[in-house]
Amino acid sequence: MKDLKVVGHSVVRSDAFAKATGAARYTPDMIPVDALVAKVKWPDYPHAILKKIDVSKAKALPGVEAVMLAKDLPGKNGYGPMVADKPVIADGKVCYEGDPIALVAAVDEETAKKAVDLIEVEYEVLPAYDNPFDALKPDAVIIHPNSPFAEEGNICNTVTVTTGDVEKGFAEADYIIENDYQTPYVEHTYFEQDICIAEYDWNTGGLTVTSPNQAVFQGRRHMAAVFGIPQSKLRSLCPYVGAGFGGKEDACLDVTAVAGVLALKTKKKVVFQLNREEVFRTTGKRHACWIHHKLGIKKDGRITAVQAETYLGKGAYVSMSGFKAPAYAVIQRTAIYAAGTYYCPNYKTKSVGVYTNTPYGTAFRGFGVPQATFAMECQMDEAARLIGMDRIDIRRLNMLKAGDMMVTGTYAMAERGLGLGECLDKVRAKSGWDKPFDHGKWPYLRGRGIAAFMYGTGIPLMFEGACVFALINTDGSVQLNYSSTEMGQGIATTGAQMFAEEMGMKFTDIEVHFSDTLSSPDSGPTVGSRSTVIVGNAIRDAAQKLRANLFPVAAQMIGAKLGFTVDTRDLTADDSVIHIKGRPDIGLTYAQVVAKAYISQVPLAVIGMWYPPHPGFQQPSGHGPTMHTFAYGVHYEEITVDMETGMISVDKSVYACDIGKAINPLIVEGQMEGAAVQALGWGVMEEELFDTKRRNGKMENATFHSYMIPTAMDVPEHTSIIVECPNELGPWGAKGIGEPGIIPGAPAIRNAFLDATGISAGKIPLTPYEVMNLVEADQKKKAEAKAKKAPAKKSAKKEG
Amino acid sequence: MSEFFKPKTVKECIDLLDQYGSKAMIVNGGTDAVEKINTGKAQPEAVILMTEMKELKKITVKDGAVHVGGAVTYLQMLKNAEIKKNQGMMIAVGAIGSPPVRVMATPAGNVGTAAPSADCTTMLMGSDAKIHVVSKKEGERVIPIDKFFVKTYVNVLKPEDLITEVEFPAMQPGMGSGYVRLTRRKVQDIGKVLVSATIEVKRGRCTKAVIGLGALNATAVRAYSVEEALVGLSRKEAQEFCRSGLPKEAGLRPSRYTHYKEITTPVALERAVMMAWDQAEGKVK
Amino acid sequence: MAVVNFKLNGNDVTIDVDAKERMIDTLRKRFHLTGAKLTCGTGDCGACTVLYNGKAIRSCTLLTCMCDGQEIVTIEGLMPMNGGKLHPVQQAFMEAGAIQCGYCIPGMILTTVAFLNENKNPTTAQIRAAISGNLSRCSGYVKIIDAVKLAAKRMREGA
Repeated sequence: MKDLKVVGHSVVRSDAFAKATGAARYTPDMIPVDALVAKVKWPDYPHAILKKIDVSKAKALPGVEAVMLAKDLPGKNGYGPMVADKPVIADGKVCYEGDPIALVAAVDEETAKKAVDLIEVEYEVLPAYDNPFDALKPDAVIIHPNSPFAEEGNICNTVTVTTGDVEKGFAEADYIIENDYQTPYVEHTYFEQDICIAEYDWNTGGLTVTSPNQAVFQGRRHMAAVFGIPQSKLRSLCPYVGAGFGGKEDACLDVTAVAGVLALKTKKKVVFQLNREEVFRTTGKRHACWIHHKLGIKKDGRITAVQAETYLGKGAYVSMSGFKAPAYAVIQRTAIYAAGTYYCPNYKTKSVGVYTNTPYGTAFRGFGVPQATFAMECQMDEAARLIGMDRIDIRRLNMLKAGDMMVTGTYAMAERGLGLGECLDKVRAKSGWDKPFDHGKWPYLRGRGIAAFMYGTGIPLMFEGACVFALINTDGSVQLNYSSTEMGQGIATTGAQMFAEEMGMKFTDIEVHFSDTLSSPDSGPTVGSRSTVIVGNAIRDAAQKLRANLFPVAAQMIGAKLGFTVDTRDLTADDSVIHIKGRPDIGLTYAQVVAKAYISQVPLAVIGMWYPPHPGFQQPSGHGPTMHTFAYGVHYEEITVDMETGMISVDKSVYACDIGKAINPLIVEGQMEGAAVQALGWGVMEEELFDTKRRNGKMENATFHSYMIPTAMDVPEHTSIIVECPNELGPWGAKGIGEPGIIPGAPAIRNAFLDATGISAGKIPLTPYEVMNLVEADQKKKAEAKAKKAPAKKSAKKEG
Repeated sequence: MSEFFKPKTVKECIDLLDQYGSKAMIVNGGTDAVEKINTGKAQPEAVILMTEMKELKKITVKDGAVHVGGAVTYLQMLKNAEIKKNQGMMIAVGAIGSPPVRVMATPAGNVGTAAPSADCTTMLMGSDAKIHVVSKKEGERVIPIDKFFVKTYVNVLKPEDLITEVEFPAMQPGMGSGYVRLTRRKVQDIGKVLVSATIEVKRGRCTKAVIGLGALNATAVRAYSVEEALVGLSRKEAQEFCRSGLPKEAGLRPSRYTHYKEITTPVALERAVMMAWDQAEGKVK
Repeated sequence: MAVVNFKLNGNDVTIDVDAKERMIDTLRKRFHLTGAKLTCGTGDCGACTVLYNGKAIRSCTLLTCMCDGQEIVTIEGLMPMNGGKLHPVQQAFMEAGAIQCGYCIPGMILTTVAFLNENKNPTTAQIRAAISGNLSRCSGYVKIIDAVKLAAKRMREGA
């Protein structure tokens, strides 16, 4: 086996120099000086009927070039990453703070702002709901009445999974643990605000749109209908992106729709940029979840049954929560991951997405799996505590092993990499799990906790697959084009690493052109932790095809020099030289070979492609193949709790992830570490709040000083451990790591809190206020229990 | 269109303020002022910068009081030998914003902004500070800080007034100060409960207490009821008293955090007072 | 309008702006120096960081007229002012894997430059405190702290 020269090495990213010197251009750095500035009239209420809109004063303001209402739109007044349900401009009704009432394009920002302020609107205010339960009350106002995108009333969609027989499973259990869990709406806080520069194309009557966008082709499919032009006349491109975390799969469509329709109307360039407050109020969030979870276990720790009912606060539009077949997404994940990474023979889940008057629930790192895993990992600690079993041992006992049936009816395969056991062992050793632990002294109590995860690579939908384009120039330099978005996860670098390795070329000979519908075929959206594997395999395929074209030419040329026939199997390539195996000095550079191929009717450009095993998901069973491989991980967190102020300090973190093969280890660690800190934020400080009492349901905390994300002082001393249990279908064994890093951190912190205080928390974030509520309730309960003694019970049921 | 001025003396400055009145804005560190401009709350015609005001950039000690000039930054305070003796002040100032904010922001500017949840303002309240003000028409005045605030974001100053210095007692033997703030994350967060304390202790008993509360009432306030009660108490008695309940001056309004503030303010109060007590008894280096 | 004279990346410049104009806007729109990013607009994130007389501060709460007679250095100035070579802090950030999406990086690098000029051998705790005003959403700060340590080591060794 050849030693890998590029893959598996922490090569410096190809964009590092540009980003370290300020030369890197993002969309906000490219605004043309002659672009009109767009602004939107946002609603004053998150739920209201629009009785009257008067734009006459805005239209009359000098410097205003266009004012648009719903009736002025050129194409479909509906779009979304999955279904076309979100209006470009509100037509008669607004369902959340981000529904545009009117669009303005003016010569500069000041004029556009003035024009928006001159628009007068009369509302009939409706009650605004920020959670599923208020929206499901019998007297609740229906947010989307008579809509093809609502299953019934305010229910968007229901997904179920049934395996085995949970009644039987619970009957077999020695203990039943039943609890409620709650996770909040969360903000991505990607640093680059959403923006689109739309330019009318006078040659074609079409548009070029530039926007930070995780899915240029997916977006184009929807935007073309909005603009009323064929997809082939819409060029969608995206430069470096200042992070996305899933949010820029949909928010980009919001800004593109506005900028694009105004560009078409004015036949000019239009820029529409959201300021930070607008990003908070109008773009998509992580779905808030309310989970009722029931776990059955035997006294030896084995799981017999899991039953979970999940309600998702799905926001005002479908976005990425999923709708009917085949568009299952976040809702589906909450239904299939409720037993986490464990073997569970009897399983029944129901997940219900309910419309609320909050920003649409969209993709956010983990895509519903963090929420589902949170509940299960909390339950596992409750189980361990109840039966007196070590918390690592109980996870090891139940973890999916080769041949185990998963809750979707498919099977865990060793060939796809089952590395959870190794992760558990390494975390156990590195964290000092078996050493005595200092639990601190009142009021500073200390605790430690762990959580485990599994997370599938890719999108379990029928279109999953990737195409890339590669061409080699006559000077031996390569253009490798794929539609993935470089948003910090390093795909522009790792894609080149994989191509270089497969070709036997120098990493620096490969130039990647990314995320532009002009330059490449559809490599699929940059989501689902899929790029390394699915796009990577297509990149390998392209390299193999190009080699297959060039090696015969090289064999002939080398043979001519040596005076006898050389077979292509006698050749290999290293450092951009094709040579006789073992003799790098007997060969030719790729440039020399290409020069000959060019005049020998040998194609110098290829399309690479790859498709995973075809997914399928049936309802109501929830059975079918979803993802072909899964990443695994274990996160250990140590905390200190100030029991008098509620402040939690996360002190130490040890994190192991099985990612199959690290194409670039430093990049993989960076993904794990960034995600781990997002998990910390989710666990102790991040939540979107909506003020139904004083602000008619508008968002309360829409700035960086009212929505807290971790600073360098909030993060623990951290160790990342890469585990590699290869996926036979992944490039060099790789699996995806973009998302799953975020999954176990929050339940690990919650479990550490349980270890420190003996208090079972059901809700995150564990802000100081939430902690003090729990501490007070616990102290009250202890005082009451002292007064009367309760008999020991078989089933453990707690107030949340 | 606005213009800017860089007066070199207090006289030049108050002449400008007198001329422009409410159309002028003093910009010290800029951290509060620029935010007001960004959000449209202020649209000054004349921006008056303090960058050349050498006479206001000094920290001096005179007659047992520390005088912090109106253009002194938090970074300057943190490096000053006299301020370093004041434990509470160092904690409060060191917690404001973040390092880049402290390079530019000033106590005079923050006092002028009159935010209820400001760390330095709360510590100054708990130091019995005095604000020195001057204007062309009224000349020099000294306003005790507990008479300085009217309501949230409103103080007693007129547009023509300039804060020339903030003054508070220098640390003496037998005196200590403390500051506690309760936040959501460790740094760069506006506190939900702020407590400052300056305590004098003689032979194990409190002889004087000045207590400031921030982020609770509409402005930073003095907790006189606590101050009176602490005099004469031993350390243990003081601890028990602080924990016994919410000071009436807290004046909590209904909000998402009301109950949290009710139960944690006594804790913060006790911790701030004990921090000061330890310094007063020479237990802090 | 106000005529402001200052030193920008080592060069004397003059610009005529409204006294209310922010430095972040002057840099990006008038000088086309887009390295400093406008991310939060409220002084909370540090992506707009520039050096003001050698100290790292926020340019989104800095009026351009406040820079009259002062010295400003942006990320674009580091290499030219270092003899055309990457500053050791830039080099360290590139090698330590500290760069992901890159949006916080110009601010982080400048904050680090100012910090290491004053503290040549910082502890981890001091580094965390020094960058506590620069938020990062991609990195989790781990490799940023590694980069600062690497840069400090190289600068001590005379890189």
